[in-house]
Amino acid sequence: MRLSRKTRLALRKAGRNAVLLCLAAIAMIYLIGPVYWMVSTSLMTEKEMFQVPPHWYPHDPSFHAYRAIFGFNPELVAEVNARGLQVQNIMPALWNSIKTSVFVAFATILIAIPAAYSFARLRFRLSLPLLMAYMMLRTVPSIVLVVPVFMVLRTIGLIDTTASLVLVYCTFTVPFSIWLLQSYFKTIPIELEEAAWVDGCGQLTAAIRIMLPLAVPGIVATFILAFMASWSEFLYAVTFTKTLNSQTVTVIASSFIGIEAARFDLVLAAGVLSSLPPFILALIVQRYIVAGFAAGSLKG
Amino acid sequence: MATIEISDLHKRYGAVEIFRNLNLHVQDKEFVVLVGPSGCGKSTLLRMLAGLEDVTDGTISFDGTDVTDLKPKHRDVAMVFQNYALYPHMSVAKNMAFGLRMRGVTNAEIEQRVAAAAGVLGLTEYLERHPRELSGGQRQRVAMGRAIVRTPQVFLFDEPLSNLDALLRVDMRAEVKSLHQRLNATFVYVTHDQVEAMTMADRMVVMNNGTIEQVGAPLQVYDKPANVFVASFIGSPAMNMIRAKPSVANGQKVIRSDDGLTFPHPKNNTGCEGGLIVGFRPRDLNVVDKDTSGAIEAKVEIVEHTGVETLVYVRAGSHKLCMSIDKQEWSGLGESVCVLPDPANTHYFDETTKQRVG
Repeated sequence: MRLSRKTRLALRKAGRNAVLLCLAAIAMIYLIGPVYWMVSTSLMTEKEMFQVPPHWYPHDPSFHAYRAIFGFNPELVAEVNARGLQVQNIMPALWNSIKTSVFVAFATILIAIPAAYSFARLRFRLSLPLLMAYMMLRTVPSIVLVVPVFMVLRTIGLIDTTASLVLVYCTFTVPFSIWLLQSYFKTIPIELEEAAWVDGCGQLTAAIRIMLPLAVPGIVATFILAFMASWSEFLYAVTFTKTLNSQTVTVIASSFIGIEAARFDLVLAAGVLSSLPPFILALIVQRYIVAGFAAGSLKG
Repeated sequence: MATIEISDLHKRYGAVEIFRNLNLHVQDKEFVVLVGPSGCGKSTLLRMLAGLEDVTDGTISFDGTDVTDLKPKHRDVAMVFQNYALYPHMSVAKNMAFGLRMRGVTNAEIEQRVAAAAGVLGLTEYLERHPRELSGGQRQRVAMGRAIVRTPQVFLFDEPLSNLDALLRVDMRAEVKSLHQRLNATFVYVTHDQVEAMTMADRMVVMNNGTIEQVGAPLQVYDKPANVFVASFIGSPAMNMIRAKPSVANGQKVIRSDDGLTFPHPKNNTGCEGGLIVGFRPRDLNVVDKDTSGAIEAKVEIVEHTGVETLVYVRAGSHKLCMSIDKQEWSGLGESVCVLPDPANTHYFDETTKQRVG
């Protein structure tokens, strides 16, 4: 039977849509899959976790791991400690992570805004070489810097403090923030500032009253990126912190895995908890992030 | 209000020289239009008046006060930008009030002045809207409103109508002109549109490659272009130009082109010894009888109807000439006609210096 042209076109379109749908589903599984697995496994008992064949969802959901890391499950804590691991209350670590990340994000924004504005608007000889130098800073592997930075921090007495982490994290969040913000500032037409100058503003007033409000999406996106970069950092945190005075959630989560034993349910529960603050933050300001990336990175 | 005096102005970007020894005087309450092709330096000059571009050398004075090194905020000028440059995060009222607020004007006076300007420009009902909620013409009005609330010494306009459609542009042209009459202020207006320049200016400043080619009233510039550039830039369609040399025919001094087209010798003989460029506007080229003395034989190639007039393109020797006549049906495509430029409105330019010689 010969199909009409209209039917053939409709079939072709349906086929194309089906392929696109499959690809989208694969991409979604790839992105959401690990998160689902983390959440679902964190609600399983250790026995269920290693079941063969594996369970795709917790058959008997339990919050035992969450209670343990918040210190409400002394039996499990004792059992795990007996295996040579050390279960610590995650609350101080969560607070340390929030404190460190918020400080880093604010410090980054405060330093990066004036720097980025200068690169975007002022003409000076070393503008490009300096920007390139900032880019180069990002290419140095963190591991190379651990020992020298440790020695510096020890000399100035900052080991095992939140301040040490804030200082160190800023060294990598500030350069990329300057890059991001300067390209965002460049997308804002210079005529707006010029109009403000003619209207009676100086350069600083025009920057504050005209540029800054218009750059809010870029600034928020930069803030989130700096927050997330410091939130998920592990290498420096594990090296420069020793106690719950300054240890962050990534360090505490890693302490549930030892050389001879591991409690994956605790690790995963800590993982879920540590994912929540950045997730909520990103959810609240998502429209700014999209606008920030669209104008700052892609167009700029 | 203010006079503007530009003296020996130089502007350089690195090795590139934009202006050399530019001089211009703008009288108090005058409407001066800077007109020229893209890249001629007219916007740069306007920006230098506003203080948005540094002056390499020379001075700019407002009412005898040297403002060359003053920041824009100290110059007491208002500027309307090509893309309006309205603050997107502020309402129309706040956009208009911004300059006043920056100058410490009281709230009561700001309100009164914004309301008055909005009334004049028909923006009263849009005061609480944001620029993105306005049409192109309304945005243009807000930009003008932002300028007029401040009652500055000098108003600067940088191609403010170029983003509007043709119909709106004509309306706004009249509006800007009436604004000038109402405010009785000094206006400097930049455009590349010669019709805009002709219709709005008290005086036109025709610019090319960073130099002022001619300054004068619109009709003066149109009727007596100072050189070949002005002659070809002002007027649409452009002036017909033919290279020719002084010669003698039947014992009379004439000007003759290489392909034999003959034109009367200019009354003023000075400077007519070398090569010349003969120019005449399409409107000054007429169809004549074959027997008319000096008649040029030509063949009709293209006929265009613009509505108000009919443009007839004819081939005379190796030259393509444009003739503008009152609107009429012209069916004689390919036919031979005799044409003759009006001797009273024929212009002569020195071929070497390109300057007017008669």
